[in-house]
Amino acid sequence: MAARAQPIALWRRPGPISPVGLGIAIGLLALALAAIGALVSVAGHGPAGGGGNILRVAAFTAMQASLSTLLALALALPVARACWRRAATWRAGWLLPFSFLPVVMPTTVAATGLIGVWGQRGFVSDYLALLGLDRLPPIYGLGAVLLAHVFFNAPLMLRVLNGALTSVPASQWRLSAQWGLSEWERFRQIEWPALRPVIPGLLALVFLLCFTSFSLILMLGGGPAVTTLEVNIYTALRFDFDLALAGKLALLQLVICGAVVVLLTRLTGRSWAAATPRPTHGVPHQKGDTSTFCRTVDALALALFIIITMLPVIAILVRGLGPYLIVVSEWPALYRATVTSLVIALSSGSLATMIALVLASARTRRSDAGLAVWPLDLSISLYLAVSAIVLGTGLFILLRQVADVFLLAPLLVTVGNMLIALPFAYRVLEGRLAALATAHDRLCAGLGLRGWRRLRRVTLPAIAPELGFAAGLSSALSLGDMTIVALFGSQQFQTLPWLLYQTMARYRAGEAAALSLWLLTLTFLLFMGFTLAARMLGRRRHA
Amino acid sequence: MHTSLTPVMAIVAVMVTSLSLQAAETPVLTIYTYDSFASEWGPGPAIEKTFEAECACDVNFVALDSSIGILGRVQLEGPSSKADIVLGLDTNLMKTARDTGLFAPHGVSLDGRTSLPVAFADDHFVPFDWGYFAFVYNSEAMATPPTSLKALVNAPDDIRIVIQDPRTSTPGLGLLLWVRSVYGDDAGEAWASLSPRIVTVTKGWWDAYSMFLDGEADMVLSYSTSPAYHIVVDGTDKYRAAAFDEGHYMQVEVAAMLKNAPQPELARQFMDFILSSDFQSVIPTKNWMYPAGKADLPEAFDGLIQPVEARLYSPEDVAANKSAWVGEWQRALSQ
Repeated sequence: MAARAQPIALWRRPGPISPVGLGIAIGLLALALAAIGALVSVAGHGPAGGGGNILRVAAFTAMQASLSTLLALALALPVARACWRRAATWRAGWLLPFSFLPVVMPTTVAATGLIGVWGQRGFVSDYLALLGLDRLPPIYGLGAVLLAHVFFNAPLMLRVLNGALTSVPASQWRLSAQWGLSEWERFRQIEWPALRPVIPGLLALVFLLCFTSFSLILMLGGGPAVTTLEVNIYTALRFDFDLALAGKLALLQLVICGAVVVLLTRLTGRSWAAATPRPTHGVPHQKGDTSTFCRTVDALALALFIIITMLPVIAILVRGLGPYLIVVSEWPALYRATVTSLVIALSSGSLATMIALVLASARTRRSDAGLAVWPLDLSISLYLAVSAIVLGTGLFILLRQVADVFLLAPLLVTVGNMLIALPFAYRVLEGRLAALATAHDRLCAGLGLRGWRRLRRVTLPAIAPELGFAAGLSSALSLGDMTIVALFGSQQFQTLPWLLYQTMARYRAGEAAALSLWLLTLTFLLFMGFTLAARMLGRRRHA
Repeated sequence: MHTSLTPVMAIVAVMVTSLSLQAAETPVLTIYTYDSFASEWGPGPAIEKTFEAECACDVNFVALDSSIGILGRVQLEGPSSKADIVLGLDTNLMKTARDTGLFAPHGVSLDGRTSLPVAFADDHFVPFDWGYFAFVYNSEAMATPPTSLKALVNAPDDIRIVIQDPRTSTPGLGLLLWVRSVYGDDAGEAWASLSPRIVTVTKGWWDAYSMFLDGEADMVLSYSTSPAYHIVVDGTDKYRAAAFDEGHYMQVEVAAMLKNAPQPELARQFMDFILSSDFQSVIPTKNWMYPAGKADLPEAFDGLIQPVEARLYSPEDVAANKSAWVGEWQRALSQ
């Protein structure tokens, strides 16, 4: 108790942000459960049962998601290290701004890119044919699904792991260089302590994304043997119109995912504390970095990463470039849809970032005060585990009784997208805030900075890059959303992915490719816009 | 300034009010349909324009993501649905739809007004178009396609096909019923035998079709009318549908009006309008299907295959068996 009397302890109290964050978390949890509850409570018309092989499906889903997650990490980890130490010499850092693209892409668009690389007429097959070798056999099956999941998630992991490495103080790198630590020693003593705290959260995020995968599984899985629980949920909801079964399956999915999140969060423990501002220039040369072996390993890791995660994006660009861009540019619908999409993306993106900031701050304060943080982690991660179609249908049933769902469509799409982006924004902000808290606590206590003033003067400028990344990612995610808008959409309310979907449904492959390119470009611009805005915010506050 | 502005503002206010009153007096006919029907490239806009000219009403298409999505939405909304009409269910959903009790008899006489290859008489549903499912191939890459379903099922493994999932896609369900109608209780073995030739099973029709266009497969499950699109829009006749000796399974798309339609008179008028030539003539080159009523077909439809037999289960048979048959399909392809 005596320790509480020390001035620094003032900052260890969770403060008013904690109950606010907890309140939001409970609200989110209640909303998700209410949506599922609404499904279960409406009597379904479907045949009873149909859940015989559910446990087998659940086990397969978990296996597939674990494999995907570990493979993504296995690729992202060496690439993050390579990116970090080759940032100055090879300019490997240019990969980072592109690294969010796969995760925000509509799956239909991404699949065309993947097929453009790995398909029968894809880059790889064409190259093999050029060398006089056989073309690749059809890729479909579990392997293709794993490849696609690595494509989607390894870049996101790279981004976060790279962020963790940049928060290693320059002094540690200097010491390591002076002592001439070996590659392995350096990884164990310096890099791993920085990476370890972010890895469980990252694994949880990617596991949930792979666990709830749906369109991609059906497209690349090769047949009904490769499946997920989400496929059964969709089938129950749509094919059988058995709402109660869909609700129960959704609950099962929630329980499994929730268990994984809680387990991984407990592994995290306290976040790594010795954070300092990022070093602005390169780190001192480390022993062994210039050895041929080390350079070869880094080059191979980067090459593999580019082939797996960048080539499909390039394939989409190549397909989209052409005369159809002009055809598409003459559609009035394109401009209407672009404006609608941008408005929704910007509002749901900013909303998600603001709420994530509150929740992440609450988490940091609670963690410092020794309070449990899992309720926050759990309630937010749940939105990755509740399928959009369950959430949408549940909300529809609930809202229908009190309001006109058609009039609310734009609002519902915005809120729905916000909820889906929230876990991403939260993960991005939470890691950095935790790292900053300890570094700034003493300083702010000394200066008497607290509350709003501390947020504005100290915290915001320091987390500006993460804020920009979170807002860019959230907006980009909702720009690419095809599920939520399909549930509430109508002719008067048309977003870009919805327009793309309509184009595809009428054989128009050329226009669809051009629209995909336009969507991708817009996503990239939106993301870069946020990143640049964040950089300006960071600079102005520092000045 | 103030004095001169006020009268102007008053006039503007009166005009705005009268305009909005007028707008409120125009009745709105709400039609739930699937996305591509209502889209700019679909038949929706032309049909909306023609019908609005004769009904003095405002037609409002609400685009949902699929035909099963339309039924799901109406079921969720129940008797308080704003929809007057649903347009885009098919015969496979008719029994389920009728059992909801949400739909009303249409009162339209179908006698002599339809041109379907099968008899169609129903007091709740009006057919608006139809088509045959067929495997489409690129004649430049494949000279001799299989000539029957059995030939495809027993074909050498180097023929690769891409199909859709019967649980998520209408053509996917169509193929399931096609195989079942040809093989009966041996359908499971037929699927197991076909399995090595299936490259992948997609969620929606376009996912499979675009894979085929990209050269991922030799044949794709689509409609016998698909080649007409490539003739009219792309100017190429290299894409053909393979005619199968056993005949082809059909899809008949239907519309129905809701019992609690907010505009029952307009709904009835529209149900009758469906079989008029104004509606039907838009179908072939906008929905790429055969018109269910009487209408001239464009030239591109002349060369399409003419199946020897039109196969179609009754809505009751489908409703009673589809879960069991999908289970059979799942087991056969999961081995």
